[in-house]
Amino acid sequence: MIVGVDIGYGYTKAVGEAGQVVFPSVVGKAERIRYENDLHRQLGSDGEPGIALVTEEGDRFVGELALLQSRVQWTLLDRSRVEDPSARLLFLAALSELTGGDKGTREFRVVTGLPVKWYGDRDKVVDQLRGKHIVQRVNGYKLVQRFSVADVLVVPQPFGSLFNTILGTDGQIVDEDLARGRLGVIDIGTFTTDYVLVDGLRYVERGSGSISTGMSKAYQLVGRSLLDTFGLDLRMHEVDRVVREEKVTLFGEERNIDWLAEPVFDVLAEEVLAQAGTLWGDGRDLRAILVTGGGAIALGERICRRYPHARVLDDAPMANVRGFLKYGSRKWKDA
Amino acid sequence: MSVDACLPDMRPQFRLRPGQDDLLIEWLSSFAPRQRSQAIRDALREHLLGQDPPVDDDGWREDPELAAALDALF
Repeated sequence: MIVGVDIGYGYTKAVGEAGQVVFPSVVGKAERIRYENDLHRQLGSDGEPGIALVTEEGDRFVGELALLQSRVQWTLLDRSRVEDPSARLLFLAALSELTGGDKGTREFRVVTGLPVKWYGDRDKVVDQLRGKHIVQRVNGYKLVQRFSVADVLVVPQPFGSLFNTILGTDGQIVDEDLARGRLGVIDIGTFTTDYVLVDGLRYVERGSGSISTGMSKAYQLVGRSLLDTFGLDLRMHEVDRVVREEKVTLFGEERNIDWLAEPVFDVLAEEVLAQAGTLWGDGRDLRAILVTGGGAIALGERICRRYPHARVLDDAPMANVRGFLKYGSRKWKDA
Repeated sequence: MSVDACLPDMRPQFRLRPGQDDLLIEWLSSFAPRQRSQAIRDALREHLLGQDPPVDDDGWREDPELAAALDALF
């Protein structure tokens, strides 16, 4: 089974032939849940996201379940994630979800990504993910799953969105006109924003890079304003949710928060655009600029105002991982 | 030695047949003698560029140069 997996700082995303999974990149200590009905509901029996795994480090909740139930929870914050056991756990949770909690042994070939400036760590990622893994899943009852990861291919994250744009589902080049061009990709993630320049599908190092700025900076500022204005003390994933919903609920009453978030996005967009300007100037020699990642929805319009030939990709938060799958389908079509 | 001297003789060797090739004869007659070779070159180039790229073993139609660049990336 070929899969694309993106273990992001904000969310873990995985796509295979059978479907896709997305959950917050949060791991927490498992809690004893008092009511059996709650346990079943939260562990996925009616489609609610919930992953509980038994690991070498102990019993863990992953994703929404960790956010909701774990008193102690943590996420991936820095470069150490490539060797962090939590990154491996998020990866295994994604494979477990993709297989729908099937028993038995499944073989995988995986394409995943790293921020451009940490691409030198790719061998560590391969070492961490390749090989045989055993997962004990606790879904009201215990279930053992065995995963054999035969191949791992690591690409700089923004290439996923490029592949998603120019390749068909089987990995064939379907947009040759765009593929021949000189293209910029801006990938706005949770903690990093990545830039890639390609010319006729050749990577151009001097037009590529990363900055340690992403949506988390906006969430911090919006979170502080929510605390000052409404007395709401929200964690990053909660701020992300209310920003997407454009409202908070206070004493049962909905309050619009656009006026809080928009000025913050203006400032963040300036920072993202400043680096694009450093790398590509006014971008007049580029055929197009692809804007992708979880931050594309909030900042895309502002980027298009500066670069009229920029285009915000459809389903931008999932574009990288979908492209990983397409490139994997091409790479291993004869496997 | 000029570069041209290294190339095989690729001058078109064909005979136009009145009655069957009237369209071509009429078209070539519309050019001054010195412009005919250029016109044939341009027409052939246009015809070849307009053709679909060759199909590979998997039934894929891709520009071989682009495909090679893509496969060499990672």
